[in-house]
This record gives sequence, C-alpha cells and structure tokens, in this order.
Amino acid sequence: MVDVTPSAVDYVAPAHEEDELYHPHSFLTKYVWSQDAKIIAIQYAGTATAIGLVALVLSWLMRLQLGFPDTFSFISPEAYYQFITVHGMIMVIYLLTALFLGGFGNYLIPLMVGARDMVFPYVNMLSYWVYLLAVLVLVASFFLPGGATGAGWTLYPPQAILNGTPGRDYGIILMLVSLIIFIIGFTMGGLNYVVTVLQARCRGMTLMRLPLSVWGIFVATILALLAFPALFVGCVMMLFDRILGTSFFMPRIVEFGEQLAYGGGSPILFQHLFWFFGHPEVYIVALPAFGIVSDLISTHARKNIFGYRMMVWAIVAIGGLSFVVWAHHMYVSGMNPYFGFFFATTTLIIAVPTAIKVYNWVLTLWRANIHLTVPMLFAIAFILTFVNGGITGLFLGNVVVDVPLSDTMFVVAHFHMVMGVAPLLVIFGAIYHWYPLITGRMYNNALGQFHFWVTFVGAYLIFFPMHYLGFVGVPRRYFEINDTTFVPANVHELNMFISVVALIVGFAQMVFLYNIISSIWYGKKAERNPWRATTLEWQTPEVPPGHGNWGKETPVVYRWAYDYSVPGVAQDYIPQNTPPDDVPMAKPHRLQPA
Amino acid sequence: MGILGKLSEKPWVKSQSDVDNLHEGGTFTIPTPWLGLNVLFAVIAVLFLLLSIAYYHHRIVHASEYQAAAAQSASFLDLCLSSGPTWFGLPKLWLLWVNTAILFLGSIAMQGLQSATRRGQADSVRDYLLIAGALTTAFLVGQIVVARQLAGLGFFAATTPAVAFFLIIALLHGLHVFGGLLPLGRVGARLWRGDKVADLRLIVELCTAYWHFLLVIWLLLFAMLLLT
Repeated sequence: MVDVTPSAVDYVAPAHEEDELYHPHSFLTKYVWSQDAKIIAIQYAGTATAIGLVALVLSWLMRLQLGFPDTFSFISPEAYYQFITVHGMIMVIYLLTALFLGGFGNYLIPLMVGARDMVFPYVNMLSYWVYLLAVLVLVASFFLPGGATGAGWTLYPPQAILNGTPGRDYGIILMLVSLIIFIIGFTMGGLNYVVTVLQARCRGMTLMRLPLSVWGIFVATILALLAFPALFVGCVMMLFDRILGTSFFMPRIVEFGEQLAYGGGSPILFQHLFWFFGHPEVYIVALPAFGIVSDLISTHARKNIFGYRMMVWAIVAIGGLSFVVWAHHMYVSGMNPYFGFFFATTTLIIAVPTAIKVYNWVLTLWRANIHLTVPMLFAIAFILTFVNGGITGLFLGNVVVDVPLSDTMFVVAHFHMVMGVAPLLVIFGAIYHWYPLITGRMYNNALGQFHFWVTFVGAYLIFFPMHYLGFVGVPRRYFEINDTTFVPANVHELNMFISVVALIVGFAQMVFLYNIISSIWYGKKAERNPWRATTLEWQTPEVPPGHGNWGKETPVVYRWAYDYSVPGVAQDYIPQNTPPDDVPMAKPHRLQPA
Repeated sequence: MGILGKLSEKPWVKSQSDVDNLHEGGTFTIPTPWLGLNVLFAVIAVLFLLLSIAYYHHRIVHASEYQAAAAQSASFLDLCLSSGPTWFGLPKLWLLWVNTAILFLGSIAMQGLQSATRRGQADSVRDYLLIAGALTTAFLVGQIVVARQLAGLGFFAATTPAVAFFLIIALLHGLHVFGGLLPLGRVGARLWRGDKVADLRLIVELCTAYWHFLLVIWLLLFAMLLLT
C-alpha cells in the first residue's frame, strides 16, 4: 500500500468542452477536411496502406530479380536500386510511422484518455494533408526524368547526389523535399498527441491509469519530435549540396576522371545526423507496438498486465536510451575504438528494459485464460518475432561480430524481423482488435485466421533463410550475384524459394484487405464490446463512436486499465469507468454438506 | 508531485485509487496552448542545436585549412577561390547588425502589443501590430539583401562553408519568423473584423513569446557565426 496525497500541481480545471469542440456542417468538413481525430486516423491509415501497397509491389519486383535473375528484362540494375530505396523509405517512414502515430495515435489517444478530440484539431487536420502531400511528392519522383532515387534508404552522400546513382537529377531532390514535408506534417500531429495525453485526460485518468497503448504512442511521439529534426537538418543540407553546390557532406572527389567542385565536406556528418534520427526511429515504430501488444495480450488473456509500472518504466527508459545508441549503425564507417565500445555497451544496456517487457508479456500469458482470437494470434506471433529479431540485434550490436556481417543479408533479415515483420504483426492484430469499434462490424474470422497463418509462417520462411545467406557472405543491395566463387550453389535455390514465398505472403495481404473492406458491408454486426475490454474506447455511448466521442458528458475513470479476472467479481472485467459501487459481485459459493 | 513520484504510483492499490479518483485530468496547470507552444519551442531548439553541432563539426574538420590560410599573407578569399571550398569566417557585414537590431525592435514592439492587449487599448494594439509586422518583414527582407550582398562580394555558398552555413541558418530561421507572421496576420484580420481586444489576448501572448524565442535563437546563432 502506498500513501499518496493529492497535489495542487495535478489539478487542472476542466475546460468548457462544448465551446471548444469543432462541429462540422457539411460532407466536406465532416469527411474530407475533417477535424475529427477518428476521421483523420482513417485518412492516415488509408493513405499509409495505399503507399504501403506500392512498397509491397516494389518488394515483389526485388524478389523476382533476386530469385530469378536474367528473367525479367524490365528490372534493370537502376530500377532495382530505385525499388530498394523507395521500398525501404516507404515502409519505415510513410507506412509504419504514419500508421502507428497518425493512424492509431489519432484514433486511440482521445478515446483512451477520455477526451472529445485532440487539443488542436485544426492543426491535426493540416497534419494529415501535409502528410498526403509528402506521399504524393515521393510518388511523383517515379514519373520524372531519371526516376526515383536509387541511393538506398539511408541516402548516404556523396553517392546519393553524384552521377551514376539512379534518380540523381530529380529523384533525390523529390525524396529530400518529401521527407522535409513529412517532418513538418508530423510535427503538427506530434504536438497534438503529446499535449492531448498531458492535458486532455478525463476526470480520474491519472498518468499511471493510462493504457500502455497510450504510453507507447506518447513516448514514441516525444522521440519523434526530438529525432526528426536531425533528419530534417540532414535533408536540408543535402538539398543545398545538390542544388546550390555547397559541400556540407561532399569531400574532395573525382567523378569519371574529373575533379568536382565539391570539397571539404563530411559524409560521416550525414551518417551521424541520419542515425541520430534513424535509431530512435526504430523505437518510434517499436514503442507503440509494445504498448498496443500489451493491451491485446491482457485483453485476450483475461488477465491484468504483469508489472504495469515496470512496463511504463521500460517504455520511458527505452525512449531515453534510444538516443545514445545511434552509432552502432556506423561501425564500418570508422570511428574511435572507445566510441565503438561506448555504443556497443549502450546497445547491450537497451536490451535490458526491452527484455523486461518480453518477460512481462510472457508472465501475463502464464496461467491466463488465453483466447486464441485473431488479434491474440498476432500478438503472440509478435513476441516470438521480436525476440528473434532482438537476439540477432545483440549480434550486430557488437563491433567484432558486426564488421563481418555488415552489408550482408544477415542485416536485412535482422531488421526485417525486428522492425518490419514484428510491428506489422502488431498492426494487423490491432486492426482486427479495434475493427468492431471502428466499423461496428466483425471481420470474417476464417479469413483472418488464414491471413495470420500465411503471414506468420511465410515471414519466417522468408527471413530465417536470409540469416543463413548472410552468414555465407551474400551481400545486400546487389542486383545479382551470378557465379561469385564464395557463394554456394544452394544460395540461388534458396533465393528462388524465398521469392516464391514472398509472393504468396504478399497475396495473403490481399485477402486481408478483402476481409476488412468487404466486412464493412457484409460482416456480422458487432456487439458493443465484443472483447469485453476494460479500456475507455469501448465504453462510448455509440459504436462506432460518434462526433465528440462521449455524448453529453465525458467519462469519469475509477480504476486502472487492467482489471481483468478480479477475484470475487461476477464478470471477468471491470471497465475503467465503472464506479466502485456498481461493480457486480459474484454470489458467494456455499459448500454443500457431505 | 514530481514525475518520478507519479511514475511510482501503484494504480491498482485501493489507497492510490481513492486518491486517483479525485484527479481532474490534465498534468500541468499552464493552459493547453502554452504547453503546445513550449513543445514547439523544444522541437525548434533541437533543430537549431543540431545545425550548430554540424557547424562546429565542419569548423573542426576545416581547422587545419583555416590555420594554413591564416598563416598566409594572401587574402582568404583568393585562397578559397583558388583551391576549392575552404573554411572562411563569415564576412562582417554591417547590414547583419542592422537586421539583428530590427529583430530586437520587433520583439520590443511585440512586447508593447502584448501590454496594450492586456490593457484593452484597441488603438495601441493596432499601432503596435503594424509596427511589429513592419519590423519583422523588414528583417526578412534584410536577410535576403545580406545573402545577395555576400554573393556580390564573391562569397558563394559553394566556395565558402561559413557562408553556406549562414545561408542555411538564415533560411531556416527566416522561415520560422515568416511562420510567426501567419498567426500575427490572423490577429490583424480579427481586429479588422471587429473582434474584442480581450479575445485576442491569448494569441497575442503566444505570438509575443514566439518572437522573443526566435530573437534569442537568432542572437545565439549570430554570435556563433561571428565569433568562429
């Protein structure tokens, strides 16, 4: 038991909500130029899914080339590098970041904290439209002379802006401009997410009563607000190098026998700026996934999350530590050995809070009433996949192991497992979990199960063998490896196998899309709270939640978010807004006389 | 209660629950728009801090060239034009001082605007708004003139890294200043429409804080560019 007294600092007088809430009056302001966070969330999710499909097709094209070299004449080496670059950038920035923060952040934050909307709805609306503009600029680069940039998603100078790199003329410019626009848009949204969590919570909703989904999104947004400026600065400086001929990142260089006017710049500076953003970016994607998966596991296992406080601390600690590990991406760029030691050590330290989270998920499942629903299957698959990807991360975090494995397919396998497949599994699980709330309908369970098993097993069939490819020395980012002497013959067969599975897994995503689109009309009508969840988003007067979320009055919270299977209570969950006096108690069992 | 105290609460314990049930929501006592502005300040500060770190990194990389150039009697400019991009300190242009003074006066005008708004003096508000808007616009025009002067003197961004940094810093700072003119313009529009001065108090206070913040950022960046 703790003894805590209320503090004056905690008190904020409730706002005049009805005065501040924006009310749309036309179809356009309700569904297009909407300031309602739920509509904005769907706009974000729709756009992110659309651009994600482009990235999926690009990955198919890459796999076709790797599995069946010299077969498809339309895949040139230049096109291959463009596919790699745009696939990577879309997946990391325009899909995962946008979907977790713009999509789930917008939908869940106001509902889960008991607010009517985001605190700055107009800025929130602008955030989406600026994001859409960033996506359109990126896509436009494919249609300009020279096509999109093929510099690799890390956009390392000097090669990113030199002749010989695909998209050197316009592609790189549009990529940099698109990123700058994205960051401006994200900052608008990020301000909303942070301030809404801090200031717009309903009565009784203390910080430590917040569901872990909100904690994950909240801390990830803080990371993004502090990390994206590094990418912003890098992009603007490289844009100057490309357009004005400055030499921020350009050393003295000879190109095709000709001395260029560049000189004195530092390519390593760009790498530092990029990875100062790039490593927190891993956690910008991972922390919301951690939070959401915690809620999925707790709800579908009918048990309170194990070690809630430690889970919150771990999210905060991971967020802080993520800013001091960035140079482990740069071991092969050359650095002072003491720096390598420092960054290897911090990389190992960040594994501690991460491991705590994994233990707590597993301990939550221990002796729980596990319901193997589709969201739960995805949540469990996430734990397995994240552990796999995390362990290979420990390999790569050590300088002596990283150096030989760097730039091999082992690295590709690692980061796809840990920040590609794992967060996507959470996204799928989350979409299935909140689908009844968003649409008022249930998805088709059989199709959901099919989608899960093909995706889960398929992802392992794709990325497990890739670790082996890396161990035998197959390099990444190579258009074709042909008969390279050190590469065994079975590498080609394995590449073929991976490509076939990748196509199958890709098509399984079409089944997912069919399921969520067709179920809007043909799905069974959902019950009001089909998962019997405790969190506030399921306690709205209407499903799907209406404008303003809460009807006449915002909810009052009386408990934390994890009151599942409380002893002595008639039902196995107590919603956060159920007053203590209204909790239905179980009838006491009477022992029968022998 | 500090953040550590909050993070060590046990929300599932009844005694804590009884305390939590009295909680009214928000975390800080400052109004929500002010918190939003403070978060924005943090983001902008990180942006310019990273630019400054990049500047010092560049300066260190070029330290040996700079010393070699300083040891020669030939003009630095001749040296950098003949041997490619070489470190060269930012030329001491008097217009930069004028621009800095204008930005400072703009901040004073904003302070006057804030005071007039608090007192509810519509005429003074209108005057200060015009003065602040004019001074800020003059600052932006002045920065553009400085860039043109540098080019006219032969200090091109491509050949002199310090000038390249000046341009990028001035551009990003100028864009932030320009961004501030948008809500200030909104204040003017609302005043023109006949809104009460009292209704403009919050937005004027936010704008004033933003102006002061950008002035401090500029003074720090200007000092860095001049002293290195």
